[in-house]
Amino acid sequence: MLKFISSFVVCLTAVVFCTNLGLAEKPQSTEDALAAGKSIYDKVCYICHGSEGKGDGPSAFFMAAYLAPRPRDFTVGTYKFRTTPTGEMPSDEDLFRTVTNGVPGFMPSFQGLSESERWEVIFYIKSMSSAFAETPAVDPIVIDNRPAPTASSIQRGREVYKELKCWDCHGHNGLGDGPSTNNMFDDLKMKMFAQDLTKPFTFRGGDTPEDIYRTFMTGLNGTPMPSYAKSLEGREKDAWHMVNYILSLARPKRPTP
Amino acid sequence: MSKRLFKAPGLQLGPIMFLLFILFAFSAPNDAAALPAYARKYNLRCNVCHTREPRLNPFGEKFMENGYQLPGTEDGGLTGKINLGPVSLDPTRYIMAVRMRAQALEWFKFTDKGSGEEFENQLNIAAPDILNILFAGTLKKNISYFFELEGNVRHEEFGLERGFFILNNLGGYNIAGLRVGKFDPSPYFSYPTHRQFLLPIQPKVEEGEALPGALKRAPLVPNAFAVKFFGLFDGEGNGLLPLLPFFFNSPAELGIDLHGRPFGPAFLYQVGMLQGGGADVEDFNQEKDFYFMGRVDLGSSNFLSGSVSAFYYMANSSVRVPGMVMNPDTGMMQMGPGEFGDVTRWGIGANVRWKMLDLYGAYIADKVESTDKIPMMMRPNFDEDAWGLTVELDILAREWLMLSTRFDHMNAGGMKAVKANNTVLGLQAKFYPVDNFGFIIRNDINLEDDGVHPLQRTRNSFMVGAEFAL
Repeated sequence: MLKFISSFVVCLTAVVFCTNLGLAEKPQSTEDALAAGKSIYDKVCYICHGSEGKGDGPSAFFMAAYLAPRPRDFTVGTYKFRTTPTGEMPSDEDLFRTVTNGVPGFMPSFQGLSESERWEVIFYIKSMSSAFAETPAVDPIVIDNRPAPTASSIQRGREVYKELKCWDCHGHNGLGDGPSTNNMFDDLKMKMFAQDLTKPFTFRGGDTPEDIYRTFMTGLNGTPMPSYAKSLEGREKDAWHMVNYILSLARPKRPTP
Repeated sequence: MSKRLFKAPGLQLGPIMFLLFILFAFSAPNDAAALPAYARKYNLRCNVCHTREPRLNPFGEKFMENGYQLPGTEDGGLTGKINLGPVSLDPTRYIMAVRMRAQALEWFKFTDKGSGEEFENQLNIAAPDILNILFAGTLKKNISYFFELEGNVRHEEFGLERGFFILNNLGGYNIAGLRVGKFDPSPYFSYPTHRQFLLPIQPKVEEGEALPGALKRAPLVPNAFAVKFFGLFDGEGNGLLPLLPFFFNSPAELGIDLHGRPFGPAFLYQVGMLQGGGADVEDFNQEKDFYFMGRVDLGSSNFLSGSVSAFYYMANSSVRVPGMVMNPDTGMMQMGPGEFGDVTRWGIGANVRWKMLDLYGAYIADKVESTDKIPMMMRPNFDEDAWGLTVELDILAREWLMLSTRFDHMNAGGMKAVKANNTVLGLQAKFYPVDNFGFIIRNDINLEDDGVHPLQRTRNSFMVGAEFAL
């Protein structure tokens, strides 16, 4: 009986996990789906991203007048939140995840749209940049199992943090107050500041261990945050230790309701 | 706002509230967790919905239009709800917000030729003025609620400012949203009555005296929204201050209205019925007020957006026109509240936003239709037409600095012997050390200072204040 229950729980967790990541069956990008996506985009997305997807919608300036991040310019084909290596285009699932989860502080979650509506709007967004058609799809990075956040893992993570000079932007205590943080600009030449690592709930790429690992290993295209995949090639465990270290910096989490 | 403007100040709560305000304001953490209810609910910064607090940007307008649900979606059932049978509530921190406004220091200069004093300066250290507690959210997909309690610290009043329910997307997305309750009629107009950068500043009256003779400083409000007539009375016979926002621009009235965009995203309609201007719940015997409004939206890229709106409002028996009443002390007849009369109001408004610039204005004209109810001998002395013009420009000069200037002109109507026009130029800088705290420096210059008429005695009014939302 216990075995049955545990199997049921595992299956249920897998279903929920897959649903949350948008791994439900993806529809085909047809003309109808594109038209439906445009219709959704013209209702919702244009307000920030502009009717032509240039990131210049009616609300765009007020959201980030003089500080990054402005709403994404879909015509350029530069995306921050990816599972693909640095400089590459995102996968469809990456886009789906961003639309589903939003970007903390700047873009709401659009879970209120059905999954098929989210896919439709992604097809439409992709049609705004030729880069998707011109760039061959690449495999996402491998995100393997996270080691337990033991004291030694966190200690090792801190050593890696120092070795890779993360403190230069994020500060010695992760407060986002490193010496370079005042000289950071994104690809729109907009001033930006390094992330305060003590507030994971404000991480724009997500605050799960996998999200942090992904951000670390793929970088954020269009920003000063580089990928550390090459620096840690063959040392992926060290990347995980640093994830554990970063999560150990977190102040008490946002109170749950 | 409303009739509180006439009451004498009470300062007992002031010092305590001021201290609380200072403690409250400067202990606010500077991160997303510190933002008011909707920002907390969706984990967004204030600026996603506001040009800067409190004015809405186009995204915030769409959010409001959709009944406080994300544009294009109805997510009322998605967040961590507490089920209460057929409906559900978000956790308190996602539905409750607090806002405080304060004129911490005010200095004004006025000419009083009537009393023989040529000039007088007055400096006041004032307490926080207004405390609002808001509860708003969704009970269920497409069923929203909004309740706002307002406390006026100076006047020691506390009560329901607004409270209404909205049934959203009736008949399909954006076809019709139905509001029922006590609400402000104009939130969808190009220049809405609420959410002003230049806060309404209340009149300053001689201690223990009554309006209008002892008025040292006229209230500072958008003149286009005001009553504009001298000699009108509310249903209870109290004199209506000509600079009181009223009718379509009332801060809140009991009523029901519909709005939507059934013909596409560019055109918004609104129709509604109100209990009556300034009417309370018991006003069942009076005729109702009706209004309709249309708005055309422009711009969808290049950081550009705009709108043009027009409305027509029929205030049926909402006010009392001047009449002759007997003074019980002297036994003599004198001017006082007469019969109930009709007023019509129409207006046009426009708004253009481009990058850091936000320009908006309204021209609103009023006409007293029931001049036949004014005693014959008074009619020639009563001007039945009035209009007001308000234009404001806001410039988001820095991420943390909003500069505003507002021009107000009221071409007054009503009793010719006592009426006077009002023209004011307001200048303001609002600093935002954190997203939800605004520090204000403001100066208003009266461009029609004659030193005699109550509306024209103030020469200059300087104010330092703050606004805070949590």
